[in-house]
Amino acid sequence: MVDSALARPATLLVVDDDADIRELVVAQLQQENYRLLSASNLIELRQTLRDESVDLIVLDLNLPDGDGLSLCRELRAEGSDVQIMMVTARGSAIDRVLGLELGADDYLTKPFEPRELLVRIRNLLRRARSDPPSRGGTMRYAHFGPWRLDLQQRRLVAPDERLVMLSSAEFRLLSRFIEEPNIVLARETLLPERRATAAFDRSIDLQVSRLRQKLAAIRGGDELILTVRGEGYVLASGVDYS
Amino acid sequence: MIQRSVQRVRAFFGTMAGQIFLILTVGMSVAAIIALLVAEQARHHDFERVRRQRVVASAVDIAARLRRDPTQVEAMMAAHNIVGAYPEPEGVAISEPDADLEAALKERFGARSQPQAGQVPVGLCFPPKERKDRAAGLIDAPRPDCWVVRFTDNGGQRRAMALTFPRIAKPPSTVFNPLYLLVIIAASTGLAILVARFVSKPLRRLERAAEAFSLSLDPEEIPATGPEEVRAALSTFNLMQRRARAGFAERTQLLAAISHDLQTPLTRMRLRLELVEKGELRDRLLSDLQAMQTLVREGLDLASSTESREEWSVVDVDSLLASMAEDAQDLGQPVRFSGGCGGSARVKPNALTRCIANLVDNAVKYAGSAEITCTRTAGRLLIHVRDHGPGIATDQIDQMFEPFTRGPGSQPGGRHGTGIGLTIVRSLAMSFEASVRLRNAEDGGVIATIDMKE
Repeated sequence: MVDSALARPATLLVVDDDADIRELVVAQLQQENYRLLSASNLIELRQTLRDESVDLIVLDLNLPDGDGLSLCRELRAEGSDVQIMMVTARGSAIDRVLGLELGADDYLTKPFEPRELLVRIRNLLRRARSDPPSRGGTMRYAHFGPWRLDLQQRRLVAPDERLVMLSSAEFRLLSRFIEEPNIVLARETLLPERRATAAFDRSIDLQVSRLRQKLAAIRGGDELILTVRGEGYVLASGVDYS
Repeated sequence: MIQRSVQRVRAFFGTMAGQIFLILTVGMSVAAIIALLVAEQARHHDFERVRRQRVVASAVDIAARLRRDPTQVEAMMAAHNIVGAYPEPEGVAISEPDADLEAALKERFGARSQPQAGQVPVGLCFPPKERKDRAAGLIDAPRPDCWVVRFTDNGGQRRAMALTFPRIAKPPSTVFNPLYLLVIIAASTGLAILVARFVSKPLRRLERAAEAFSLSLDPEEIPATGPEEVRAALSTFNLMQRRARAGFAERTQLLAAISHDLQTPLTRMRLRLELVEKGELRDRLLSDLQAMQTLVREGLDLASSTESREEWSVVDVDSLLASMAEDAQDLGQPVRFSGGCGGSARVKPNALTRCIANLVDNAVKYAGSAEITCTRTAGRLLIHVRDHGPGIATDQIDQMFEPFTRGPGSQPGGRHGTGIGLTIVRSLAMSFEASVRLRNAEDGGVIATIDMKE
C-alpha cells in the first residue's frame, strides 16, 4: 500500500462552486506534480469519488447543492479515510473545532496564502503515508491522571471543569507525552520537529518544569511527568480518549 | 469611624429611598403631633365647658330655691349650710369676667338678667379663719374652685352668690410625653421604610436591567410586574432594549455580509496574483490585498464578537496569561507576564484570549513591547496590558474605542492597523460581561485594563 502510494502522484480533488477559484487552485497545485480533479458540487464530487481513487479533497463548505460538513460526516461514517482539507470563508456558521470534530483533517480560511495551502496539503499527505492507522480520528479529549486534555481547543480541563491554558510549546510537549504514555522519552525526541524560531531553543527541562507546575495545580496532578535520570522523561499514567 | 458613618448617612439620604424615608418620617411625625395638639385643644375646651355647665346648673338650682323661699335659703347660705353655694364675699370685684359663662347664664335666665360671673381666687371665697373645720388629711387636698355669679332673677331681684366646686384636676398634656413621641416616630419610621422599599424596588430592578444592558447586548428581559406605572416603565425599557438589539444586529449582519462576500473575490485576487510576475508591482498589489484582507477579517471579527456563541467556562487566568506571553515570545515579540493573581474567572475563554491578544498586539505595534499583569480587588479580576510607549493624548483616550480611530503611532506614510482593533476588544469583552478601560500610566505608556467578575 505504502509502496504503491509512493510510486504514483497523489490524487487531489478540488471542490469549489466558484469556477475561477477552482481553476486557480488547480493551477497552483499542478506545479507540485499532483494528479488533479475538480468538482463544482456534491453530485460531481460523489461521482468522482466513485470513479477515481482520491487521496485528498480540498473541500469548500458552501456548495450549491449541500453542505460540505455533512458530506464530511458521511464520508467518515462510510469509513472512508480520504484526507479532507476544509476551506471556508470566515464567519460562516462553522468554526474550526466543529470542522475538525466532524472529521476534517485540516482547516483553512479564505482568503488564504497559496503557499500555505501547498504546505498544508504536503503535510497532510506525508502524515497519511507515514502513519495511516494512528490517527485518533474525531477524539476530542485525552484523559490522563486527574486531567483531561482538549485536543482541539488545546487546553487542559480540571476535574471541576476549570480550564487551564497551555502555550503552543506546552501543548506540543504534552501531546508527545500523551501519544506515548508510560514510555521514557529522551530529550531529543521531545524537541519540536520544526524549529520555527530561535525561541524554541529554550531548554526542554525548563518547558517540562513549567508543564509540571501547571499539572501540579490540582490534587493528583503532581508526579505525572517523572524524570528518568540520564534517559529523559515519562508520563506515568494511562491515557484514554473520549 | 465617625466620619465614615456620617458619610454613609449622607449617602443614604442622597438616595431616593433615603429621601422618601426622611420626608415620610418627618412629615408623619409632624402631622401626628399637630393632630394631637388639636385634640388637646378640643379636650381643653370640653373641660372648660363642663366646668361652666356645673356653674350654670348650680346657679340655676340656687336661683330656683331662692325664688321658692328666699329668706331661709339666704340664711342657709350665710350659715354655710348649703354645700357649694354661699353669699358673695364682701368687697370682691370680678376682675376677669368669664364671657362664655355669662353668655350661658344669659341663655338660662333671660336677656334681662345681666349676668356677671367670673372665677375668683379661692382665698376670697374662704377667708383663712373659716378653714378650721377641715378634716385631717385634707390639708393639702386641692382647694375648690370658686366662682362669683351675679344676676337679676325673674322677680327683678339682683342676686349674688359664690359657688364652689371640687376642683377637677385637668390631666396633663400627652403631646410631649416622650413615650408618645417615641411611638409616633417609630410608627412613622416603620411606615417610611416600607414605602421607601416599595417605591425603590422596581427602580432598582430597572437599574439592574439597564446595567446588564450596558454590559451585554443580550440580557434577559425584565418581567414587567408591579404597579401600573412601574409595569409601563419596565415594558418600555424592554421595548427599547429589543429595538436597540435589533438595530445593532442589523448593523452587525450588514457588516458580516459585506465582509463575508468580499472573501471570494479576495481569494480569487490572491490566487491570480500568483500568476503575476515577481517584482515591485506584485509586491505592491500583495500589500494592498493584505490590507484589504485584514480589514475584512477584522470586520468579520467585529461582527462575530457581538454574538459570541462560545460557552462559558471557568478559566485559570494565570495559566492563560502565562501561555499567551510564552507564545508571543516564541514568535519573537517582547511580551512579559510579570505578575499573576492566582484567580479564576467565569468567561468565554476564546473571547478573552482574543481580547488580550488584540491588546498585546496593539501594545507591541504602537509601543514596541507589552507587559501583562493581573490583580484582584473586591470581587473583580483585572487584567492589565501595559506598554512603555508615548501614551495617548488625554482628550483622545475616550475615542480610542470608536471604530476607525488609530493611535498616535499611525504615521501618514506607514499604515497601521484598521482602527477597529479596540472596538473588537470592547465588544468581545461585553460578550463575557467585562469592560475595558484605557489610561495613561504616570510614568509613561498606556495601561489597558480588562475588568471582570471574579
